[in-house]
Amino acid sequence: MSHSVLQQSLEQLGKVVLGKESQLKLAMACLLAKGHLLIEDLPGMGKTTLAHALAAVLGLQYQRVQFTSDMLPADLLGVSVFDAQNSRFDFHPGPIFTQLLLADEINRSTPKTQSALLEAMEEGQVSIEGETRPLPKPFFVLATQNPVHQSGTFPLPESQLDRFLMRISLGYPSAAAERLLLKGVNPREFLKSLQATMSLEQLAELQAKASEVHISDHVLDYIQRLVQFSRDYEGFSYGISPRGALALVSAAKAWALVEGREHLLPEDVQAVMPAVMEHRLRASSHAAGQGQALVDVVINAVDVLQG
Amino acid sequence: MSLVYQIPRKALWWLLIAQAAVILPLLQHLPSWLILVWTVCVAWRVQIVRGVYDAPKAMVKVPLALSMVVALIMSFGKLFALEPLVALLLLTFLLKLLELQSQRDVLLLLLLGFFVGSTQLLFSTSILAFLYAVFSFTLLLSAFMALHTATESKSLWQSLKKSSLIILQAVPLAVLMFFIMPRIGSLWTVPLSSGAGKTGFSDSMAPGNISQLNKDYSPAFRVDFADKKSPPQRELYWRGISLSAFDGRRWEISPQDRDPRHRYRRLRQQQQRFTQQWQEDFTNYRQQQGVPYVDYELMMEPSFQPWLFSMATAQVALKDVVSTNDYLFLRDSPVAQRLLYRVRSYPQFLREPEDLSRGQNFVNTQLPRGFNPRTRELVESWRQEGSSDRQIIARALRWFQGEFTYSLQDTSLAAENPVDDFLFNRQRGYCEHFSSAFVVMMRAADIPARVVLGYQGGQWNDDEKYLLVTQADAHAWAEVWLPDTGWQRVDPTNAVAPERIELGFREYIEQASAASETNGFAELRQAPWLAQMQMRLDALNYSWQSWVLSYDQEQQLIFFQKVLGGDEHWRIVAALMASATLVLAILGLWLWWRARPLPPPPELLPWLQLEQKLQRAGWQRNPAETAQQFAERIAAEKPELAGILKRYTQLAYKLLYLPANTEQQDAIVQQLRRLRNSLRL
Repeated sequence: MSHSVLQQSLEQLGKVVLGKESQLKLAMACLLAKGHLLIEDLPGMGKTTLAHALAAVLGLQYQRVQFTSDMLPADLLGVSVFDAQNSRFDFHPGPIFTQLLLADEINRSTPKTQSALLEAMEEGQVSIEGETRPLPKPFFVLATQNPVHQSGTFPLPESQLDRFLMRISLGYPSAAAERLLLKGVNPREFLKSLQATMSLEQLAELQAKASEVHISDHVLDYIQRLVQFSRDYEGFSYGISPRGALALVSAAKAWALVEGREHLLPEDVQAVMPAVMEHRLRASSHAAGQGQALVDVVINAVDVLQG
Repeated sequence: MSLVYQIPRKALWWLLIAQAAVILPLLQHLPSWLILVWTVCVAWRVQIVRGVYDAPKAMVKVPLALSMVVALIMSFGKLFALEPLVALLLLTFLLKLLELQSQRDVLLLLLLGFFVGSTQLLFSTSILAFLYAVFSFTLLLSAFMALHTATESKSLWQSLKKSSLIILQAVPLAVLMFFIMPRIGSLWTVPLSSGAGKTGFSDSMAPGNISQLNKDYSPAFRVDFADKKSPPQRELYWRGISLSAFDGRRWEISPQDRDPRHRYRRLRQQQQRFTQQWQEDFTNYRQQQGVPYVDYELMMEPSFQPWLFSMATAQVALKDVVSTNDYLFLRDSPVAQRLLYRVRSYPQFLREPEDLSRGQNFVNTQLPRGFNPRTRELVESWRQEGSSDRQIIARALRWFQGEFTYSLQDTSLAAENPVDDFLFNRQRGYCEHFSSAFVVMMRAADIPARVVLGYQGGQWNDDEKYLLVTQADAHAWAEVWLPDTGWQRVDPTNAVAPERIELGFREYIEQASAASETNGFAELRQAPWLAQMQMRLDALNYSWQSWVLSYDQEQQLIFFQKVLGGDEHWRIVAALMASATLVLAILGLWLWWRARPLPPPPELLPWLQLEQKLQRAGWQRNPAETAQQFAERIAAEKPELAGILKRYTQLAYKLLYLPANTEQQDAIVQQLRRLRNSLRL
C-alpha cells in the first residue's frame, strides 16, 4: 500500500515540478522523517511551486508567509486585539497556525522574526503574550531562502540552520523541462487540479513506518565513521553534532521508505548526505570550499564497508 | 619598571615539598639550625610570591651568605670534611630560594636539588636510603614538570603523575646502565664520614665499654657461610683484637703495637723479609689432609677501625691486610666503607703449642705492681696448694660459677683495686668484668693470658641463610697459653651465664629479663614483632648489598663473561644495541597491538573475499563506493560478469543490511562461496 501511495504522490508532484525527481524525493523523505525543509535557490526556480504542490498532494492546510525585513514576530504568530464590545482581548492567530507553512525568503527577515519561528519548529508550539499555544499537527515548515550573498539578507545562524532536517536547492531545470515551460505549458495550472493522494492518517502511518525502517549494525558503523571523520578532519571548523547524526539516520530511513525498502542501505545514507550535512558543516578556511564539496570530502574519505 | 619574574605557584609548591624531602634525611648528620634557615627562606619566598616582601638586595644577600659559612665552620670546627661540605651544599640549596629572579634560577635550584638529594647516599647506602632518593628525585621532577607546564596542568597531582611516569620509564635504562656502564672506580675521593659519635669497637677495654655497645642493634657484620649453615652458637667467637697491656684497670694493646699504621708497616716489612715461625706452622697445618675448616664470606659494616673479624684460626684473602702474631688481621687503613672478605677458619689448629717466645711470655704475664692484692693472694694460695695450671683455670671458673651474677646493672667498681672489688665484694658484672678478672687471676698464677675483644654469636636469618652480628653481640673473653695446647679460648662468662653463649645475646636477654627485673636486661628487650621486622629489613638490605652495591668492576667482568661471553667492546655495544632493539620492539608491538585492526565481522567476510579476488584481477573498490556501485562499475566494463555480480551483491546485501536471520545466514554464505568459486575473471 504505502509504496504505491508514495509513488502516486511523487508522480503528481512531478507533473507540477518538472524534471526534479530527486529533489521531490528528498522533500518527501524530509516530510516523512518529520523534518523541516529549507530550499535555497535563486528567485524564480520553482520553490514556491514545490511547496504548493506538496501541500496539495499531501492534503495539508497551507499558509504562505512572505518574509520581509520589516516583519515582526507578531505578524507571524498572531496578536490579541481588544474587543470593545465584550471588553476583552481576542487572539487573532497568525499565519503560523497551519499544517504546512511556506516561509518564503526567510533570510530576508530580521533575526528576531527568524527566531520566533524557531520555537515553533522545535517544539510544535508557540508562546504568545505569556501563553503557550499548540500548533496543529502535523506541522511542517518549508522555508525558502535566497543565496546568502544576495543583498538584503540576514543569514540564518548555525543554531537555526540545524533545526532544518535538510537543505536542498532546485537548480536550473533540464533543457527538456525548460522547453516545455517555454512552450507555454504552465505547471501552475495543474496545481488546482492536483488531488490529495493521502489522508492525514496515511501520512502519520507512513511517518511511523519510516522510523521503523531496519538499520543494521553495518550501516550504523558507516554512519558513525562518517560522523567521526567530520569531527576529526582538520578541514572543518566543527564536526557533525549528535543531533546532526540523528538527522542523518532518520532522513536516510525515510529515503529508504521512499525508495520502497524497509531496510537501510549505505546508498540511502549517501543519497541524503548532501541534503542533511551540507548546512551543518563549515570549512575551517575558505580555501577548503563549501557546500557539496565539503560533503564530498566526507563521502570520499570514508570507506563504506570497512573501518 | 620592569616586570618581576614570578615562579608559577604549582612549581613553587612542588619545589618546597621536594626541598623538604631532600633535607629530611640529612638532618641527622647536620646541625639542626639549618631547619631554621630553611623556614626563614621559605617564609620569605612565600611572602615574595604574595607580594608582601621584596626579594632581598645584594646588601642583604652577601652578608647573609658569609655569615652562614661562618656559622657552619663554627658548628663543625672545620670546613673540609664530609659533613660541613654537604651542609655547605645544602645551604646554597636553601639560600637560592631567596634568589629566584628568572626561570633559569629555578632550574638551577632544582638541579642543585638532585645533588643535595644524592648526598644522603654518602651517609647510608641501604635500600631504604636508595628508595628515598628515588622518591625525592620524583618530587624534584614534579617541580620541573610543574614549572614547564604551568599553564596547562590543572591539578597539583598531574605533575606528580607525569614525573612518576618518567621515573618508571627510566627504570629499564637505569637497569641497563647499571650492568653495562664501565665501573671505573672513583674519579675523586670524597672525604668519608668520620664516624664520629658512632658507637663501635674501640682498641681498649675498661669496665662499661661493652655494656654501652649492647644497646645498639645496628649491624656489625654479616656472615655468609659456604654451606649455608651456621656452626653452633657456642663456637661463634669472632675475634677482633687481643689486649695484653693492663694498667690495673684498663686493658689495652701492647704499647709498641698501639699505632695501627706503624704496626701494619712493621709487620708487612717483617713478613716480607722472612716467614715467621707461627706463620709457617699454620701453613704446614693447612697443607695437611683432612683438617676441618669452615668457609665463609664476611661483609663488614664500616667500623672506622683497622681490625678485621674472624673465627679462630683464620686465613683471610684480602690485599692490604697483614696477619698479626696473635692470628688476627690488621688493615692498612680503617674500614670506612663496607668491606667484603673471604675467610677460611681452622677451628682445631693449635696456636703456638711448642713454646711461647720470651717476649710474648713477658707481655702476657705482666701485671702492674701493687694492684689488686687480694686477688694475687688468692691465686698464689691456690698455687701453694699445689694446683697445676689447668687446675687453677678450673678453680677460677668454678669460683665464678658459685657466687657470681651476670648482670648489666650496678657494676661500678672501686677505682683503687677494681678486680679485688669485683671478685670479693660486688660479684656481679658483665663479660668485660669477668674476662678482665679472669686474666688477672691467670697472670697472678704466671699463666700467660690475654683479653680478646670481638663479637660472640649472632642471629641466624633463616630466610636468606646468613648470620647477622650486631653491635649488641660485642663480647670480651680470655685466651690462656698452656704448653702442648698453645693458646686456648676460655670464656668466664660461659661459666657464669652459659645461656648467654648457648642462646646468643638477643635470645638471652629475652629470657633473662623475663626471669628477673634487676639485672638490667629488661631495657634491652625488643618487642618480638620489631625484632622480626628488623630481621626482614636486614635481610633486604643484605640482598641489596650483595647483589647491587657489591657489583664492581670484577663482578661486571664476571657478568660480561657469563652473559656476553667476553668483555670486548664490540660485545658490549652489540648487547646495548640488542637490548635497545628489544625494548623498542616490545614498545612497537604494544603500540601495534593497541591499534591493531579488529577482525572483520563474519557477515562482511564473503564480500571482502570477493573484493580480494577482484583485486587480484585488477579491480579496486573506491572507499566511497558501495558494493552495488562497485559491482555496477565492473559490470559496465565487463557485461558478461553483470549477472553473477548482481546476484552476489544482492546476497551480500541480504547478509549485511537486512534484519539478521541466523537460519538463512549459513545458507547464504554457502551460496556466496559457490558463486565466488564460479566467478571466472
